[in-house]
Amino acid sequence: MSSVASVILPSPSSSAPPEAFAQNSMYGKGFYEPGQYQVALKRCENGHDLALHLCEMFDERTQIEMAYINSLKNWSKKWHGELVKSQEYGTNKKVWDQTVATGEVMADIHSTLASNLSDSITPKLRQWRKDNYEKSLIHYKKTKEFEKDFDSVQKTWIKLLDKIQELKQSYYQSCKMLKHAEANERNASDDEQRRKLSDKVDVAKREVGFTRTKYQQALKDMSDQRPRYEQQMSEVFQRTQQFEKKRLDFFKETFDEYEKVLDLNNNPMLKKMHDDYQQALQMHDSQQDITWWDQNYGTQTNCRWPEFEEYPEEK
Amino acid sequence: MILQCIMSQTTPERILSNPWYGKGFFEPNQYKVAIERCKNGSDSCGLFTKCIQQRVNIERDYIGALKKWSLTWQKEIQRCQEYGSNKATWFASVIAGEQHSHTHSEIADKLENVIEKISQYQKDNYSKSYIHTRKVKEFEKDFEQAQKGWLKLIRKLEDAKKLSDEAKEKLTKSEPANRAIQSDSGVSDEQKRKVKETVETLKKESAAQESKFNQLNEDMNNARPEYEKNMTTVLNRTHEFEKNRLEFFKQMFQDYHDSLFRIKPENLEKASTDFKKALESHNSTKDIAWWNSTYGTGSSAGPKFEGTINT
Repeated sequence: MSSVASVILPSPSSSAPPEAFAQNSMYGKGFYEPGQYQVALKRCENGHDLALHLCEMFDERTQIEMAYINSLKNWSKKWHGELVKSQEYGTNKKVWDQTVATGEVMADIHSTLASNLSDSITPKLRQWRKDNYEKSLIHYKKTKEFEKDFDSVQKTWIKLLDKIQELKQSYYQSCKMLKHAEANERNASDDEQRRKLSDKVDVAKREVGFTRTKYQQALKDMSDQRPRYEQQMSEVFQRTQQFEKKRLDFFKETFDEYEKVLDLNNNPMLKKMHDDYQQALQMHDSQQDITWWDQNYGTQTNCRWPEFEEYPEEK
Repeated sequence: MILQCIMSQTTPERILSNPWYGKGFFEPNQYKVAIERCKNGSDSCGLFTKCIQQRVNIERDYIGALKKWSLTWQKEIQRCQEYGSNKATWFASVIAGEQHSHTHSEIADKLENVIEKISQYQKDNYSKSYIHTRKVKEFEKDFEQAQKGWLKLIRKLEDAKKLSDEAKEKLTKSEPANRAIQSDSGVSDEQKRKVKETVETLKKESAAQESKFNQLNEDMNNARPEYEKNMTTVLNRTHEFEKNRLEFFKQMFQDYHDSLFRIKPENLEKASTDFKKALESHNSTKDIAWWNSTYGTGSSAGPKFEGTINT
């Protein structure tokens, strides 16, 4: 008998971000439904890629700064040389030389920015990635752990669901049989036959009652087990939430540091930038993010629970 | 032509290698050092423009790179698996990173204004307009004019000296021969008289030439104050012209400073202070004076006459 749980879910559309509900194939599902916990696992894995992305972004920025720094240094060097050769003299020449020296000053200031990025921020990101995303074969250890735990909690539940399906089928089968028996009875040629067939109908009726009871019992069992199942799933899920929150907190730390690094200057434009960024930083709320996520992908999602489905009447 | 080659190897401050150095300003053609300085002023403007233009280019490249980086990562963040306030903050960090480029745009724009000003100055002062001839050409003309008469005098004096020396030489050569003949009993009186006459003529000639020479020398000494005055007047006009340029450059350095530092970044405060100090030490009067004493009227004065040969 095929198990519902072995249905292969479509792998989450990797190009749709969590907030793009319309395109995200993981959206609109019930978390507790079989296999849906994959969405939490994927989020864990994404965390690694996102940290990688952030690293790349900072690396590229560092490259830009280095190019600028080198250009400035070269410009300074070149024009120091030009001035020595030129026909200028006196204090005018000295001041011109000082003007050229500003290139080096600017370079130094940007060197600070570049080195803060490459010596402090990106190594921290790399280390964090290493610490939290140890690899085991193709998957990350952490993810594998979560998967194992989700799996083991869901295993029994899936068995229950399978059983319910089975019993539902039995029930439907017996309903079908009853219908046949009743039809036969109606079409009986004589009373003798009718009597025999009537017996058969009784048997079928009894069978229907029997399978129906079993079906309902299985549903009741499931219903009884549901709170425990939910609780166990929730426990594992909370651990993934914590894992994610850790990541979000770490990102916030990183952004804070980045902001300090950028705060080289005090000019009104940069001050405004600084203020805007400060404001944005204050809006950072990893708890809120976690909660939102839970609402849309986690335990707060609208689940479809198995309900008693009556046998559809033939028209 | 050769001088040009030499000048490209040396500078006004490299006095040991500078062929203009150590000459007297009033000597013939030495005024050309002042003309040279005027021309150099124009080249300096060109150099200054080039210098700042290259700086501007560096800024523009930086701005371009930052903008591109910002756009790339804005897109990336939008499509990545991030969400919530973390995403918003990440986005803000990219924007913040780009804001840097706005400061640099401001710097680049301001620097381009400085370049404009320098170009205009160069045009106004060094190029020929249909109303005015080039200032430099004017100076050259005026120097030539002031020196023309003087050169004539010098040549006259040189010629007179030559004649005077020649006459003296002839006389000197003739005297021992005369003495010998006078005391020679084998020579006729007629001969003796003739030789004596020749010597007398030579004496008169020499005296006349020497007198001419002395007169010319005196004329020259009398003409000298006027000559020096005229030359100095023109030189002072070139000094003014150069001082004007130096003052203008000072203003441009100030503008350059403001382009970079009026944005007033905290860490740039010290750099600003240092630069301000340098700006304060800018002294065009001092520069002019130094130059004048090195190449101008303060240099070893006009032709001193060293006595004639064998006096």
